[in-house]
Amino acid sequence: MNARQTEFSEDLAENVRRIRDCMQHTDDLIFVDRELASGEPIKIAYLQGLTDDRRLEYLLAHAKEFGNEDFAFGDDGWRKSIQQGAESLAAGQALLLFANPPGAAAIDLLGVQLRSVEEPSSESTVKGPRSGFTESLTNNLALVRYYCPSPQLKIESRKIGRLSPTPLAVLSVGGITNPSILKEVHRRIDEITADFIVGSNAIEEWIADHRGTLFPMVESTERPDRVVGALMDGRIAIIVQGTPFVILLPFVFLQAFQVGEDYFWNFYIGSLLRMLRIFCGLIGLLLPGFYVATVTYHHELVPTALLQSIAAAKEPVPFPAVVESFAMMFAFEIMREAGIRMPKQIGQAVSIVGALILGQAAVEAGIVSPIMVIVAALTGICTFTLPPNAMNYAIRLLQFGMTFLASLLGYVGLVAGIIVLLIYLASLRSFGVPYLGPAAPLNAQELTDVIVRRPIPWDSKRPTLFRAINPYRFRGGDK
Amino acid sequence: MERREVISNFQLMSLIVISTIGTSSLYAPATLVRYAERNSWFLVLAGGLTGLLNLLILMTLNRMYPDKNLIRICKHVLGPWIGGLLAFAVIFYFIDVTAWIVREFAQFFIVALSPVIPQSWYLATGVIMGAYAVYRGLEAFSRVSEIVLFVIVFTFLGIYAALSWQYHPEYLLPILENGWLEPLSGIIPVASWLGDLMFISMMLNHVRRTKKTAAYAVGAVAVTTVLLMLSVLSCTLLFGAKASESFTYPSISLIQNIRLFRYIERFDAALVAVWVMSCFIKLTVYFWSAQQGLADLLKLEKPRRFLIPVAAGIYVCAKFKVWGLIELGRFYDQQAWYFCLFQYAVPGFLLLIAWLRGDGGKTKVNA
Repeated sequence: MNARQTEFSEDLAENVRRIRDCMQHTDDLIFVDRELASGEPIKIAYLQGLTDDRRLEYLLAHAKEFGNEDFAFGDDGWRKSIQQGAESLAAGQALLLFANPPGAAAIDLLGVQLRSVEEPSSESTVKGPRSGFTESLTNNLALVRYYCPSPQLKIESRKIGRLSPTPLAVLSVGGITNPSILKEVHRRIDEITADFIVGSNAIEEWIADHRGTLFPMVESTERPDRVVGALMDGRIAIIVQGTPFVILLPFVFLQAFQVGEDYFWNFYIGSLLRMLRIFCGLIGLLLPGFYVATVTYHHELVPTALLQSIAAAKEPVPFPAVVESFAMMFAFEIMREAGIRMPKQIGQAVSIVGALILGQAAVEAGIVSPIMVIVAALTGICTFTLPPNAMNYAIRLLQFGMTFLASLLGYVGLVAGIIVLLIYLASLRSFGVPYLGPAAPLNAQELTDVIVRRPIPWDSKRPTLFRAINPYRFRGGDK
Repeated sequence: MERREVISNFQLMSLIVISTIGTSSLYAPATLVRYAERNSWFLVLAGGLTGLLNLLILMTLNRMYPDKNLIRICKHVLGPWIGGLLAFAVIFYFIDVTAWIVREFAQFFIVALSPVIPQSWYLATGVIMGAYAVYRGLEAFSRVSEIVLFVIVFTFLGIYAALSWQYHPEYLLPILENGWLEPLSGIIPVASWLGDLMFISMMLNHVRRTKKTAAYAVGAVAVTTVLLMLSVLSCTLLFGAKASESFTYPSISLIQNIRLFRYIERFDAALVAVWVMSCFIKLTVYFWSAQQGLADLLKLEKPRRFLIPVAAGIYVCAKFKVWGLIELGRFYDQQAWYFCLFQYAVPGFLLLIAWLRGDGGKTKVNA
């Protein structure tokens, strides 16, 4: 925000010149002369393309029918200084410049073409609601309100960015959310000194407890049902204008293996799917390292028949297992990235060429063993089962480190890697909440709810991790 | 000023169980049958009582001086000079024990898993893991110990259960045929394992104290005793006392006898995981105690700066401590008095002086 404010004068032409100066003589700034019913001349200013055409046309066509009293807004709509007026214009409002009293009325005419509510591509679901957030803050807030029509839902709006103020909203539920965590969130948001903010990720990086970590310190979702679920657990949501990804905090490690859909299936299916994802996460992290350690150092632990198969398959391959493993994992990451960046139709072709033709050719050429192809493919597929959040990327990156340690020290390196990783994770906190909770520190009851999806009528208690004021969702439902 | 770290009762219990049981259960059966043959389970039971005695001494000291760790108690009770000297000896003991554990850690893998990998790599891995955990702090490795506890306890119970159909109960008979005193000839080594609790004297003032703290600590010694007894019983029931004595690591031989569905065998990887995890926790608690002791004795503002020099010292000490496994085993067996001296005599002596000073009657002694 500019500290120096220049007040509007009684000379409309002078005000127009000053606004043009303030807005760098931008070409899309339009001024239109009109008169009110009383005959008083006014100027209407707006940014072309940023306003809703129909409402703008109505204003321009019917300006003469309005009297001064129609624009007698409170302080909210009245701009006293040139700088305030320019900020309103940049935010998509139209300005009606008056000579007497000197000032401008700001009318909200924002009308940018945005996409409509669609199913979020990053969190697709088989069963469950299909609406996802868009880039519009107001639409997103309305979606949350639609899913959670509670008078206790509290929305606190802010603007972040010195040069380009970006609106954001902090959502909490009165009577559930812990006020000290909410206060801490506001404090950290207040401390953001950036001149502009690009999306929610920038907010995440500014307010996270640990800025240099590979692991996500907050959750990011496109689904309003997930936001409402989190709010009801006592967590806090931050919605930022211009991005469909909503931040949820605090966030703990094991939540990365949950998806909203778990609660739309029978609890047996929901629980099994949740455990399957944790198992796949472990395979994704450890399988290549386990394979490298086994074939490099610990042949004696493999049953003889299997060892013979592995030896026969590896016999024509001139590289050690670790080189094979790195090559395959690296190739898999390239194909995955290419598949995502390519248009959908070509993306499929990339995976066919990559998986079938390249893999087959590499085996036939004796560059990699068929078992390594199986290991790399299984590892890759396992990571696909995880929700596509930052944890997924962290696991994919760490599998390289684990494989390297396994190539140096065998199983010892692998277990040492796991321990160092656990120590690191145990030392992290998300808004004061231990990152490995409820596993460490152990809370057996809540741990079961993270690993297993309990039947909803039995789930009467909110997680204590997030220190909700009201610990119960409902009374008397607990088994 | 660094933030005061606090751990829970259960975390204290996890640290005690892991650091006591994880390493000793691998080779204890072989050592103990040398003294008590098929009655070595009785020796373990007696060792459990000595562990409780050690716990009682350390907890009483902590009750007298709730805000102080052992180093501060030394200085408070014996004055800055004599107390400082004793505190220095205790810190040396902590560093020395860490070096012993690191060497044990490396020796096991060279003998039992892969002699191809150089010893120095294993030593470096152990020291780096410990130093990193100490760097991250007591809370971080205590949290990890909660996870490790379940892995270790369930792995051991799984091993003993999977072998249950191969046991020969007659190998335990006759029971205590020469009276109950004869097996106690091996009480010193077993007391040095089950009384291996000295690190808690540095941690008790970090525990979030409740009425159940003492119960958790006693429970930890009880769990340790039961697990060690199961380990000894399992070896005796499967191999008999004489054969158990001939193994370097009887637990490896135990696990190599497991066969599931006629085809799945060689669960050695599980033992590797247990060994790495338990050694890690054990060396970390002593490493942390040493660093904490140094910080208190030398009044260090930033004790983390000493982490790398201490770690380097531990590495060198571990590398040149003994020539090999036989010497290491002999030291644990025949020179166990060295460990007992610090585990029992030093805290016992401090407790005696504290009583003579009349501190026992006071509710709280100022820091």
